[in-house]
Amino acid sequence: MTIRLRNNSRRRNVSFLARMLTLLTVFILLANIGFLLADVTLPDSEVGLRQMNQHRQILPATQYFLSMRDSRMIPTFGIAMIVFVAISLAHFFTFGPKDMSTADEKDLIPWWTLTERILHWVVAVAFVILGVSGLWITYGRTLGGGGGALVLRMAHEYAGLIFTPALLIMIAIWLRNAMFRAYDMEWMKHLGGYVGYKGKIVSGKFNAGQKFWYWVMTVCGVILMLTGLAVYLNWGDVTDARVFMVIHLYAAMPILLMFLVHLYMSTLGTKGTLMSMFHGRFSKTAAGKFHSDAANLKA
Amino acid sequence: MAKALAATPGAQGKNPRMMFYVDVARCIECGGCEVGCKNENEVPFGIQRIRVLTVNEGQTGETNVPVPCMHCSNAPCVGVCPVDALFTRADGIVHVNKETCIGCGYCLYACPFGAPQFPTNALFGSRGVMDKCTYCAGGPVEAFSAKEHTIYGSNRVAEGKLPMCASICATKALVAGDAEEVEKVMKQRVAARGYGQSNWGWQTAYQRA
Repeated sequence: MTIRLRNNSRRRNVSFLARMLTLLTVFILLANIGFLLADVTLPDSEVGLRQMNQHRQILPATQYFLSMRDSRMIPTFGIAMIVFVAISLAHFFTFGPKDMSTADEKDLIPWWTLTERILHWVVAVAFVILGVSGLWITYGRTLGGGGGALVLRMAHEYAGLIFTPALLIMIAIWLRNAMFRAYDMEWMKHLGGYVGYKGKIVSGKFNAGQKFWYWVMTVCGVILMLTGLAVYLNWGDVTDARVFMVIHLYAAMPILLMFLVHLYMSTLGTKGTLMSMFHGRFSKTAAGKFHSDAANLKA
Repeated sequence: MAKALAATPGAQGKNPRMMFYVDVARCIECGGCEVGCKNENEVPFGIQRIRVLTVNEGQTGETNVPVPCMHCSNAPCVGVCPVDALFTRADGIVHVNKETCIGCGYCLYACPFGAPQFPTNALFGSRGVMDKCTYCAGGPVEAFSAKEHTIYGSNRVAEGKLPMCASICATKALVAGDAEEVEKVMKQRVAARGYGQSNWGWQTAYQRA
């Protein structure tokens, strides 16, 4: 695949792209492997289904699905989410937010089109409903069942049906902005200047962090969507359903962690950017500082 | 958490272990168990708390198996329920608390017998809460109350009776009761006629060629 550079020449840079995709894959894999390791290394506190079923010749998918409730993976993931929130708050109170706000009305330029904004919020609302209801079902032993939880589970299904087309359209309209470029490696090296680096960092419309969030959302979101549809519409037999449920749970983990990062970054972590997703305008000076390669600046 | 409701003491004064045993050599697929269950418990339309499965239909060695909820000892459904709606009673009967159940379907995926079933009676035709064979022992509410009858069906076990399917079975293929009693019955049958796939025909049934 060729990369178009700023002077419009093209050259092959496959190794760079491979590095970015490797980073993405490593993140998703680490999240999953980390939780899987928690599952097999931490001791069981009681004789569970896993030990009973080890005596039997049942399919691995079934065995894993049955023992998922006894696993340590679910509490470990809960702790991981709390840790991410703690890190975000720690960042806010040490490095503080990046100031991208402006008091000058004339400094605002169009940044997000109406389509982008509507789609973002449709996906966002659906995602929050899906996330909250999914987490409530997963942690149902502590959070409780009953009528309210039943309504939440139904909400999970309807929000999923809305999420499906909205996500696919969103993936399509932001695909070009989300392709990794050569300067994204620089952004990654300094973590975008969010941990103290004061030099100039070049980004396009999406910086490398936003691109990373886009790709986790795309890959994991599509997996969640497909496995969710599969169990909702009864694709395959019950053994397939067991496999789909396990994949569904594992795909949700990286996406929820990255969502926490996105939530922090778009609200507390930066100043003056949240409103741009409502009225669609962004400060030109801030864009010049932090998104200097964006097409909106050259328009 | 699992609630262990008090069970009726068994013949020897110790807690019984209520169970089903399916004698596949006797089932003739009459469907009496299906009809008896639906009638006794006023089961919602579309739910089959007990089903007769037929293998090799029409061929020599046709086998019919009535499959209710088998009330497993270490029930997979109890293990996977995310809200702990399923629990095992002291006498081995597995119950679902329909007021806790959220209808997620994990128990259906875990069950090797397909016992949990879901009506589409929630909002906009969504999947409602899980319904399954209760061993005709009602549910985790006050016995013989109107609520129990409406939500869970009849409570024959509290009256000292066995489930309707086993009681109505034409050939007594579905054997129900305390595990020790069931074992005695099956020992007698196997001693009398033998056991296995070739165990059919006039010689087996009537000791006549």
